[in-house]
Amino acid sequence: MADPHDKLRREVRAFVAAAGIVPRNDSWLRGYDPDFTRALGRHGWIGMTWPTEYGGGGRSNTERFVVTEELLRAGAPVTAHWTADRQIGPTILRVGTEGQRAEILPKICRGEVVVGLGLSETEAGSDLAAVRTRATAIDGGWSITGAKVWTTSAHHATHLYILARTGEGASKHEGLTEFLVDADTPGITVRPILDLVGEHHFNEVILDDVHVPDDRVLGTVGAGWKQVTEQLAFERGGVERYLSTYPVLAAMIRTVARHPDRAATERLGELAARLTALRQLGLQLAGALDQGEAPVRLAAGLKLAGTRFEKDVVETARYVLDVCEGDAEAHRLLVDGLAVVPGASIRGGSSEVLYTVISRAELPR
Amino acid sequence: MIFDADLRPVVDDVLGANTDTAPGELWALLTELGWPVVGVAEDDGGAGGDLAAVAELAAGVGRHAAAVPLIETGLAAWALAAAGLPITATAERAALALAPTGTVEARRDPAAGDEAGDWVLDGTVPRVRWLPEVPTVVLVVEQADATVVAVLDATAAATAAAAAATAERDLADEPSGTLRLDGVRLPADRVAVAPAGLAGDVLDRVAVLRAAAISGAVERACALTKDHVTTRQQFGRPLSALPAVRQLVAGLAVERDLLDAALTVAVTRPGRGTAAAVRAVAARTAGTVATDTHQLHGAIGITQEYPLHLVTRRLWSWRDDEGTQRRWERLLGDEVVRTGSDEPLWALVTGASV
Repeated sequence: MADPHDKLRREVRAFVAAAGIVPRNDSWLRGYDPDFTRALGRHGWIGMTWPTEYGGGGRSNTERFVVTEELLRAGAPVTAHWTADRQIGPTILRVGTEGQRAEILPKICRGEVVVGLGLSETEAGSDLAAVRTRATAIDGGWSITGAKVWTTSAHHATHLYILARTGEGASKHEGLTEFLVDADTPGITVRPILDLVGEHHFNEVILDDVHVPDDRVLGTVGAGWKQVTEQLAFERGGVERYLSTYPVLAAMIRTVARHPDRAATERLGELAARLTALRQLGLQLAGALDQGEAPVRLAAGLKLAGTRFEKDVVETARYVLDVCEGDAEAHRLLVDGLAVVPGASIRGGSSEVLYTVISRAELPR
Repeated sequence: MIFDADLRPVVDDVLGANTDTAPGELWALLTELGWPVVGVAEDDGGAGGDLAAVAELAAGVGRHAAAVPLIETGLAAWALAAAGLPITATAERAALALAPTGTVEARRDPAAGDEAGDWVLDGTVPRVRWLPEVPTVVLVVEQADATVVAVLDATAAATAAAAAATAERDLADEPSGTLRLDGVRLPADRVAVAPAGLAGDVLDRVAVLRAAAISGAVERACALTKDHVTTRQQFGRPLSALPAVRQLVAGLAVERDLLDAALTVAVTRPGRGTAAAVRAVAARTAGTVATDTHQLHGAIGITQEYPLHLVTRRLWSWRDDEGTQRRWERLLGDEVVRTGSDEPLWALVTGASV
């Protein structure tokens, strides 16, 4: 039976093959390549699901799912547009003004927008609602002061998404507001934070009396918590939550095919079975998004199990590349993958937070 | 997991209301409903229905811990129909015995003269579920160039088997006997030679339906656990207020979701790989769920009076039928490394045909 998306797959594969990619793990976070991103934009593979009037492709989330899984399979460098395509564009579509849609979405689709995600702060990690960055109303807009950390790609960003406190409420979940700030606005300082292997992907972003016009508020002032929670269904429910170490898995297959080993084969079979289940969950999430749902609970489960799978891929590869004599390229990918694993179950909602999200759905208090 | 939204409530009504009904009486009811032959085409004497409908029945057997050979009889009938034999022999319940290549010899009897169609069977098939309590065994013999399907009278033709099997019961206290064939003779009309691929197709179907049954038992174990942790009070509050308890319950939900997802793949994209994948996932999930639901129940869960054992014992038994997860994972691994590229894996996982 032919898969209805075979043609689309073929197009993406041909494009990827022609690009001559050196595969990387975590290529959606560690693969910044603006030229590659713009080329994807020319093929219509950014903002695929958005209405055509905003430059989008008017296609389904399932089709977007197919494109993203083919790209991560190849370990292609997709960082430059990833955040904008995955969650900021959809947020603008859901809660943005007509002006914001018309201005920003076409640029994202062309691959010209790099968004740094300003959610976490030094005192607000898993406890996201504890943000202290404050936006104060001024004439015609807001003045934002505070600091964000772990902001991936802020040093390349054209826009910064900022979650800031605009008021106080009975609970800390009230009085939060989302902003989309032009990255060249005066008062913004970006400082690198090198990761454990010395690479520069994330940053600290200092905001000092950054003047932001009213039309840069996303959605409703004070409704930021509800909006951001919905956004997280997009952030957590994608293929990048279980395919980040796929290049290691592919390297294992090459290795075992050359040096057959029964135990290694069984372990690959185990990973293949688990990946089959995870991918189906991901597909179901894409389908739920097509239905206009924000499947927060399902997305949390996918990320929790998916990052565990990514870790197990790398741990299995240690063993498999050892007993089956993996080549230099396989070992390069293993080392590359090992550096990815510790962050995977932290970013975008730590596993502990995800357990909480799921248990709240399973055991309402 | 809902395979067939129309059928599921009926399954719950029938199996849920008859947990204490005598097996013979329940079987009569199921036969009246046509359930043992759901999945077999009406033209072949079955009740029709797709794989999803059969999976819904199998899940019901798991959810309600129904002590009837509904899954096995259905499989036996399906195998007979696939081999072109009449399914009537399975009407009074049947077992399915799968004989991998080399374990059972099925040959035509050269001494039969005019009766040249007579067959002689030699070999052993261990752990045949429901043997010897059911009157019929459908034997599926895998050979290099064909699949031989035979209908055996479990009480007469395999007398030795029946006698030898009486003492065997599985962990769930259901019969599971060894089929010993020592020169058993069968007339030609009880044997069919089918294409070589049929043995694998039967095994795939067994794998998917076993996984569906496991998913039903998993669902019940999780439901019992949720009830228990929300009603049982310790330290002045329900267990469900304890973070460690909440985390285990959340973990169970994720395991369940993954099994259901693998089942969805296996039912919507049936094939060797997706069947092996779901069977491997099901075996692992069964173990995790049995362990964690018992842990969350505390001592009451390991008593005879509390119903958790009805499903956990089945989980422990079913997960090892037709091999533990490692057997299925090796099968899948062989498929995945077949070409040396990741194409077979990607095709399995995504369903892409390119």
